Amino acid sequence: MKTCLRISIAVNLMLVAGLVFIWSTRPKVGMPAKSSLVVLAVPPAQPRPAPVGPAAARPEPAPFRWQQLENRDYHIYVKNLRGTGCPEPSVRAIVTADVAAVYGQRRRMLEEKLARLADSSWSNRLALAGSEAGMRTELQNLPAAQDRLIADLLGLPPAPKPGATPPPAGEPNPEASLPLVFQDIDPVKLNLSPEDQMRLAYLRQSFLQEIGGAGQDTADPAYLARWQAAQPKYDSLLQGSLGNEVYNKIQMIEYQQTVAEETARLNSKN
Amino acid sequence: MKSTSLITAALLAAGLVTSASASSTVTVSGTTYTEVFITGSTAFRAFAYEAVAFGTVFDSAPTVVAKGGGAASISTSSYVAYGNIGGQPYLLNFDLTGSEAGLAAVYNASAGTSVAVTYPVSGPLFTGTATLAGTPIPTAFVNPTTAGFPATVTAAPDLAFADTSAAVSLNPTQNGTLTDFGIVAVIPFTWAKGYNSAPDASWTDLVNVSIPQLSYELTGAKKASYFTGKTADTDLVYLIGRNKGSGTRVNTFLTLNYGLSKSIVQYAPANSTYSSTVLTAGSVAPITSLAGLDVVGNDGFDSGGGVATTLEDNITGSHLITLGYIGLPDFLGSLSTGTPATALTLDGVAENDGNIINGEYAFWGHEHLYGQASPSTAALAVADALTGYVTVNGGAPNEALGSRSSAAGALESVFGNNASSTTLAGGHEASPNTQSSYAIDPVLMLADKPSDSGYPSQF
Repeated sequence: MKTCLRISIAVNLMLVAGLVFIWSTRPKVGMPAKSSLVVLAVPPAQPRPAPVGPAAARPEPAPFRWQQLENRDYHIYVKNLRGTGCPEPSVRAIVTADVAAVYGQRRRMLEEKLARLADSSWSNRLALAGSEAGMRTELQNLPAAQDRLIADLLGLPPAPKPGATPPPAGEPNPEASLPLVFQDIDPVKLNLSPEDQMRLAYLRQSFLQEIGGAGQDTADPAYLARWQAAQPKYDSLLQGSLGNEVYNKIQMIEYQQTVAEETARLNSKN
Repeated sequence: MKSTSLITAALLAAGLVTSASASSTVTVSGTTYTEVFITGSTAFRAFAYEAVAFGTVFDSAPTVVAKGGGAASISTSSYVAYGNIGGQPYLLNFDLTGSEAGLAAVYNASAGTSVAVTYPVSGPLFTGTATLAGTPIPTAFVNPTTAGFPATVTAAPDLAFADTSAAVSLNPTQNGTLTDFGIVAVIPFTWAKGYNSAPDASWTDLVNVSIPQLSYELTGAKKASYFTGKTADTDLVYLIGRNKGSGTRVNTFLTLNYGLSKSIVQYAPANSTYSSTVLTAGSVAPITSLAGLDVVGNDGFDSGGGVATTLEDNITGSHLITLGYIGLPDFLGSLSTGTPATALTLDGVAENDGNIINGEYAFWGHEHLYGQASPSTAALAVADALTGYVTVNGGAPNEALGSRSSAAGALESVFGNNASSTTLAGGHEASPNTQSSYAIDPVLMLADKPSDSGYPSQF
């Protein structure tokens, strides 16, 4: 229980830190739309404030209340976070930490159960052999399940379960990864022209169409096959359409986000 | 007698394929024909012509007449072919204006819109807004109602050949709604340098270009030493190329991963002119100095013929080199002139059928046939005769190369029928590693790219 309390405090401290950040980086006049992923996931909760002249009096912001963000449905909570203008990396960090904490609890519980089982008598172990195997499988699948939940909460298309179908003899079974077209891309930072942005939006839509749309059964081997066929194709189309310079920058963004998420996950375990 | 139309009609009735009903008719010499208008890629025109004139599209050899009444050939862009398909009289009317222009025109016809593709041009030859020839719809279809076919008509096209898929076209959002009848061929391109009757060291040393070098060349002229590695090669290398309507240009950008929306800097001989805002090459003439070239910026020639003509301009003594990207029909055509262009290797690999089939040579595209979102019954019948889309593949487009390819129909059969041809064999010849065809049979490929973009790898 002490561990849980510590995790809870850590997560809440992160949330408070995130909110302080939100408060200090509220949307500014003329701020570019940050994440076009929102288009795929949830529409922006509120329109951006209308530009005002430099001399115009700025009304004092209403005091912030927790209720503005909190919701029993975590999807709506994420939507509310984005609605306040919370930067996408912060949204990702908060979601990743929350989910990692929940799955961390589950992992520790399974590990403790397995450890107790290992210390028990042989007859007991034989009797619970099926249960032990089930726990080991669940433990093995936890990281993938955690990734899927994070993707779902962030509004990304769910990656199919890797290994849902046995690979043909002699062929590797590559994990299903998110195509680069779904990276959080700031069109201003990457200097994307309106035509580039149209191409990006088209590729995202086209990928979703090719894998059969949203709301798929992630355990469906056919879905995995569609995903694995489409993913390299769309990475390649992105590179060809936007060019090497932009493509390399997007790869760098992906790498940085992976590092940030992995760091958040490791921190939540400690 | 072929039963294409009957089968197509049956599949339509069964709901396996969808179709709109509108088709136009035209009466020629007392016979009323259902007319189907076809536009798109000029680089693929030779195979389209072969399939129509000598292939299995028509029940028997059709009457083929070029615009103006002359004989058509594999290099003709505007012509009609008429006869029976599945026992029904059909007239196929061709006006090939380029891949991108073709897709835009078919989209306009499909959506009932009339939007021309325009773009800004700024240079000594022309400054203003250029309109892509063939948009909003082609204007040079043959008018078959006048004896001798001297006149042309403007018409909304039913079908278009494109050197890439719609996903990388000028407007993928719009063109993605069109009916894709699938990959019908692999369409090769080459880099070539202009003719030089008394070559200097720079010209002689320039035998190869690499993909990274070309990406930089697209931004402006570079010294030959940049390509050759020899500091004494100081001639500047000037890019000669196509406008935004060109599938050749799109494939060039894709091969270099340059970025489809980015601008480039191209040049044209000073004797070029703008005809109705379209860059048009003048006669072949020597370029003796830098004054013989003008910058046209992001614009370029509307056809590969303009690039070929420029590469045939003798650059002896000018201390510059013209460098162009070009489809095989225009490049091979240049070889038979007295002032031929010279092909360069790309990343050390020569363009030929064998190198493309094996995946060693990367500068090629997937040739597609597209139709309106809801093609007419007539358009569907013709598309089926060309590709086997309905009767062979049950309404599924061929999207693969090699053994997984389901390419069929008259276009596929053209390849196998011309093994002895030097340009139409498509890889079926005895020595593919010494021969260049206008297009390659998709079934013969041993490699493919991950998409329209990227580098080929073997299956």
